[in-house]
Amino acid sequence: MDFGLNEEQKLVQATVRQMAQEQVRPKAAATDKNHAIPPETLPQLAELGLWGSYIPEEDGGSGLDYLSYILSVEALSAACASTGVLLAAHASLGCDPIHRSGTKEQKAKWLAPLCKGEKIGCFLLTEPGAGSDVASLKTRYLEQDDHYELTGSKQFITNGGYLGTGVVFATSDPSLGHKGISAFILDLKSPGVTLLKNEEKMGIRGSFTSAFALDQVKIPKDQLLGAPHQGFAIAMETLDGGRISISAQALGIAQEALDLALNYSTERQQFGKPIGQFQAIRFKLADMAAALESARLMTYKAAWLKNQHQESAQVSAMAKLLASKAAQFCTDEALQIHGGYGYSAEYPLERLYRDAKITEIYEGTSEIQRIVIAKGLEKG
Amino acid sequence: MKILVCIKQVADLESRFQVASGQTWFNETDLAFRLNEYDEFAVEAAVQLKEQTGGDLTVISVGPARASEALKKALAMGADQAVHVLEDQQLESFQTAQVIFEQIKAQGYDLIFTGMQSSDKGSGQVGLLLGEMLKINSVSCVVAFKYDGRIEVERELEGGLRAKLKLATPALVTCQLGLNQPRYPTLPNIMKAKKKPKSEVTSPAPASRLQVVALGPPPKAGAAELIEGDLLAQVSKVVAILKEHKLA
Repeated sequence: MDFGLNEEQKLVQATVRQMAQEQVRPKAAATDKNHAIPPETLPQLAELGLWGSYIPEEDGGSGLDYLSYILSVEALSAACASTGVLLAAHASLGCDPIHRSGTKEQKAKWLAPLCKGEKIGCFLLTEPGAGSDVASLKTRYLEQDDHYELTGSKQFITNGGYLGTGVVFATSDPSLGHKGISAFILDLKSPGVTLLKNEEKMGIRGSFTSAFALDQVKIPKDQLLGAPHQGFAIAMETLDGGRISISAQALGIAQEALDLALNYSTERQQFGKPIGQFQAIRFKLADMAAALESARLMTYKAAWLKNQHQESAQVSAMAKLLASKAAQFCTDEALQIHGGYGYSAEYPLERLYRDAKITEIYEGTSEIQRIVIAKGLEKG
Repeated sequence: MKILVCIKQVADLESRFQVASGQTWFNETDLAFRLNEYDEFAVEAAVQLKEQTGGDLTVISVGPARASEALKKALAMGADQAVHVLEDQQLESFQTAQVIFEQIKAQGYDLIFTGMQSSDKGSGQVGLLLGEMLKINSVSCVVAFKYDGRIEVERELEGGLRAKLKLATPALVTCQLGLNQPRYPTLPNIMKAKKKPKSEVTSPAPASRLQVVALGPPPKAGAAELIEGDLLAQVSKVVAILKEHKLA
């Protein structure tokens, strides 16, 4: 076993960390306040090659190994959780299914511009009535001579507001359940696609979470992704990977909370000494560090497995469960250590606390992760 | 044009340095290492020159196995090949310069860039010693660099003055912070760097002319005082302190 990062991984981590600390972190509070990632951040990510992530160079990507990509999401999320999920959703949900299931022509046409950041990727699965229960989705498609026609609605679509390229899921017949679902590549500027709203949210406010109406949207036949009725499998495989990227986002948030708490506990004096010298605070810091490090190990293991093409739904679910819990726990404790200042919007803790919560919800709630983990136990 | 840049990997300055009793170097276990900050400006200057004139850019470092990471960064920033002189001992400036000299003396580099100093030892000597050994022009503490057949540099002097100098190649330039804006290595270039040629060599260092007698933190002076409270309270406190010490 080797728990060390290789030279490239260390260099990717240091580079993204430096860029994120210098360019992204100073804007994190404004991003939250304005409900928008500043437009200049997108070309900065492009310059570094972040949009191309782990997609191989021959498909127009940056050719990172999967763990390097995960380290990038973690470093970016420590600086700004909204910017972290912008990359995570783009790469793991937008690019990944096209990379895995797309034809050579589809990759050249759709994946290459995504990898350059010319289009921002998203994943249109969730509907008002179909969240955890994916198979109950209602968006219908009809097969016509030279195209498919989609009608329905999609909700809570991360990155949807950029109107880039999405992978959309629809059923030919709801009575078929998950066996009726197909996946399509969708240009979000197509006629019939209407952006209804970008949600107002508790946290990750800089990230677009969008609702769409699809009204007889014509999708050319060559934009069917994979085989007909393969959509459910594509969605599930995509989410297994997506969970690792959300784990990385959670790790970044948790690390930032721990760093801030550690810093504050050495500076803040009460009763004549730094509060970090009181056992009550030291134990909190120790518990945070232990929760974070165990979640990190699980997340990196999930990334390592994916890199070996030994993806494990169970391991990814464990990583997501542990990391989102660590983010929630660390932001809560860090806020507590900051006392009244933690509750004040002048300090970043209340933002981190709000940002952390979503990691227990999206890309499968913690309850869904437990279902996946338990299902894996039965197989064994 | 043949360009060389000399770099060093140093401990991150934010590390907590601990020196065991009787030792003359800090304990490196658990420390994070990085490319010396001054050298980042040197690498950037070298890459920009290569982009301007074409040619070939080599990066060299003398150091233990971990220094390979710093070389990798320079390759990812744009160097064409790397030479790693494996050395586990802490060398003094003259020894380092001599080791580099032995590696490069026959190469005929037109321009050599180094950082002005390393952020761990800060002697500022390796570049200038190397220039002397090669018997070429050297200029230190450079904050602006131009090349159009001749080299034109600006040096930062005390008192906010800047001296403008011209010199001919071959030459050696030591780079001050702020010379340029070192680029982030792009992620695709990081992945490509592992395919660039990188040679590992050993070269016996000459005897040291210096003996490090001891290393440790300076004796503790008066403790710093943290001024807290709202802005008005903080300002009043600062004014009171200044008055107390007859500084205002």
